[in-house]
Amino acid sequence: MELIVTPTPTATVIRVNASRIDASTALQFKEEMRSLTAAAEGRFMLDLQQVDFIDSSGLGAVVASMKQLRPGQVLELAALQPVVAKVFRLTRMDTIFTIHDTADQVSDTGQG
Amino acid sequence: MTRRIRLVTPGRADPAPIAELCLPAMDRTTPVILSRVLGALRRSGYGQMCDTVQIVLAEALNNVAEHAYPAVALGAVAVRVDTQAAHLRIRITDWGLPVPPATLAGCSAPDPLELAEGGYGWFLIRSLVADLAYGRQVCRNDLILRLDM
Repeated sequence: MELIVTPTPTATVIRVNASRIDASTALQFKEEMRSLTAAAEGRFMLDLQQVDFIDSSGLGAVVASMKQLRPGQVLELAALQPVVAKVFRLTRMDTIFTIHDTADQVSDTGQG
Repeated sequence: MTRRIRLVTPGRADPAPIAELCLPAMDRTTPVILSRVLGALRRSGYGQMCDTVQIVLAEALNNVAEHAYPAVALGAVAVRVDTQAAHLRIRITDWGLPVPPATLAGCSAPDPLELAEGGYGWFLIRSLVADLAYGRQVCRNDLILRLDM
């Protein structure tokens, strides 16, 4: 599991460079997200373009990543692939997160 | 001494499997099991079932790894996939602790506003299967998931 951080004018983009966020990587993901979000301010964009699969442990880790934010920080998601989108839809976590089609789109549209 | 040996013939009720394998039940082997089962589904012309199978089978395998074998280093899990009428049938067998009755009794949908970090696994399984059956024999659990095709 590798998280690649790119600061942009509108958000800190965190790209997940892995095909899965699952039971074997969820804890590591959560801890790395804790370090990354502790080191910056404002808006974070989790780019899930490369993530083909997420299980309930991975979903829990994404939720945990949001819960461990400080006031003034926000975590949004981008580029959910079909299975990932399905898991978010079934659990209705798609109603909790702001979800963008692509991480690029976010940079283009500013804070919108 | 005469010893009678009864020949065991394959059950007539079980059609030839699409996939059948047995591996250690560990978080790290779950992707391997999924990959093999999904590959077999695609080769057999059931590729359209892959997304749903991946979600439900991953959760079932995680449950075995985490709850059936909590106190021992290693246990086995067997997966068998076949078709039954209009259903794809997945049987997950382990030789660990039984599934608690309260877990099987069902659960309400998680409230997204609670921001729970767990408890979605069985909900995802129940959301996607047509039905599920659980059987406990001596030292053995069988979970049978049937999916609409």
